Amino acid sequence: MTDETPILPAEGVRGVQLRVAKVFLRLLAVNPPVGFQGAKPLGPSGPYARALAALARDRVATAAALAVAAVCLGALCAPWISPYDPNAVDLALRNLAPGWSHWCGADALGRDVLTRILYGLRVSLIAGILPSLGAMILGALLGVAAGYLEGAAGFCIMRLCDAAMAFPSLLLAMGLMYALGSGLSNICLAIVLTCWTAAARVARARTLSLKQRDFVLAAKAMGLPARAVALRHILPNCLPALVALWGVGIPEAILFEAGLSFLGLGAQPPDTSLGLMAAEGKRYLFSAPWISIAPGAAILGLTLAFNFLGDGLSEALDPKSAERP
Amino acid sequence: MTRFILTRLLGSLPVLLCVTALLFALLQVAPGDPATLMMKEHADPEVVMRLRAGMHLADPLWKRYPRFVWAALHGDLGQSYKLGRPVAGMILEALPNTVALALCALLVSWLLGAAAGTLAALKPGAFIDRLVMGLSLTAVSTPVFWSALLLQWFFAVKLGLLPVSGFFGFKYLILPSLTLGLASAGTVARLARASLREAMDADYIRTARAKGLTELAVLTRHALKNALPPVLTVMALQAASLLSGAVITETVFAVPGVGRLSVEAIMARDMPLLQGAALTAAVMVILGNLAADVLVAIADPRVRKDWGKLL
Repeated sequence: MTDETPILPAEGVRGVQLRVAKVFLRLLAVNPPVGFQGAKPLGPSGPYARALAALARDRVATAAALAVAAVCLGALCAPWISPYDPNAVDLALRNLAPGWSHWCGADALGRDVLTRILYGLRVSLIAGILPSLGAMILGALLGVAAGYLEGAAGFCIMRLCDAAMAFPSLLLAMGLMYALGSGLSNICLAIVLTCWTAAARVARARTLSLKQRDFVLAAKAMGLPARAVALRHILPNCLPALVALWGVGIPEAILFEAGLSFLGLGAQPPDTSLGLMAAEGKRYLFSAPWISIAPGAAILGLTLAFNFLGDGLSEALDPKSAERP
Repeated sequence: MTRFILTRLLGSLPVLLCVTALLFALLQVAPGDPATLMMKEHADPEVVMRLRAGMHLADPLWKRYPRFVWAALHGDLGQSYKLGRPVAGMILEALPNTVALALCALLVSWLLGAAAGTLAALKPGAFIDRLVMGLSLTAVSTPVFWSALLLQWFFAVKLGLLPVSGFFGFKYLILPSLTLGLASAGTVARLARASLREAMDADYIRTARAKGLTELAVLTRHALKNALPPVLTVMALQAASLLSGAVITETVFAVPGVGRLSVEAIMARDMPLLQGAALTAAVMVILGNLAADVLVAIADPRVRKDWGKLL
């Protein structure tokens, strides 16, 4: 974050969106329609377009993105992919070993494990993507506020951040679940309230350095109110770092949800969650290890794909690596 | 040194107060009346009312929190709702197990992580580098409970080498600390690699090579020493995540530690026990950070000199 070139070009956010859209189309080997904001030759020039192009060149990140897409598709299309009902109890199939008809075996109630994994991945994806986005937004707003306002408000926000970081996050989330009660929306809320600290620190550090830059001083000198300066000039320039952070936050949130559900504080029995499945199968570790091992492996695959993608993303969004050929 | 430690401890008091105040408020607004929970169903309302008065449950938060802090300072964390035992005693029983587990896990993560990170940093871009980076990312991505179950299944069920769960001596500590250590070994390896690669680019390394030192001597005498402090500093932040992992590890392996105590407290809605466990965890994180700071000072004379300026 030491390199301080302004990240947004002159045309602002709208222009960047158009550029991103154009590069997307080019990645899909579609030519941008005629009249699509001028006809100048396409080259990745905006920061996000450049990052996307760098990401597309990164073979590991591309493979990870494809894997994530495949998992999303599998979870979304679970009812059409699997011939089984995730909740259909068939005691004749109790603890059935993996085989041709049931690829990952069946659990203690004879339910197909692979089908339940597909449905559980929906929960993991929701609990991974939404709360980490929420945590990023909350952290970004608080961080920019803390950096821009300084004074008592900034001090309070950062001490709150310190306190939240000086505490095991899982225990904090457990305390929140104790107060809120279980359920997917409460898990998401607990993750947001636990994981906002990293984004707040990054946003604050960025804001403190951006505040001294000429374009911010100019905006202030032109009489723009503080809120407009913070939201229109500082926040957009914090975004690349925050997006990179989001990439790392998704797998973290997935692991969080799985851990909470494993401890019995997250999803509750009629619902399915990969962590809960592993906890239910724990008792049969001797006789039917696949019941708990398979859901865990599914989580590992998902978080690994997200982590490789997040790694590529932070590399691609790093202004230092953008200058490299 | 003593003065520095004391100053740091005093400095961490506000953070500790802030953490406990937040948790206290959080747990107090949780639904469910403790007095009703403590009594059996269909208890005499009169008795419940008297119990509520005895527990000062009707007092506002700002009156009860100072009372909690004052009692905690005197070593009194209240009575467990479920077992009726003093919370402080229960925590003192559980604490050594958690500390032993955390220390063994730290040992595992440092041995594995530092070795792997060093190997990777020596040949940037080589096969070993990419292998270590891939493995460390896998370690970071693995759910703690999954590696716990996998190790349990392989070493205890399949091979029968080690006990499945429980806690009756060193043998019972191996699998839990391996689980917890592997979880943070990935982070240590990535940090060690980044830090060592930065150290290897420094001028003094070129000087050391120019004066004819062997590559091994350059590494052990100059590079590793300089790469250590940043890794130590960042590892201090890992103290909190280590305890998070300990909650799950202790639950899987049935280790009677602070983490399992807190899970049991939530299940039984045992508020004083949960408060005590949370307070213990916060103190452990703060002490862990302090220990890391002291270790950095021992490893890096420059930091020690800066302290002289600060104090």
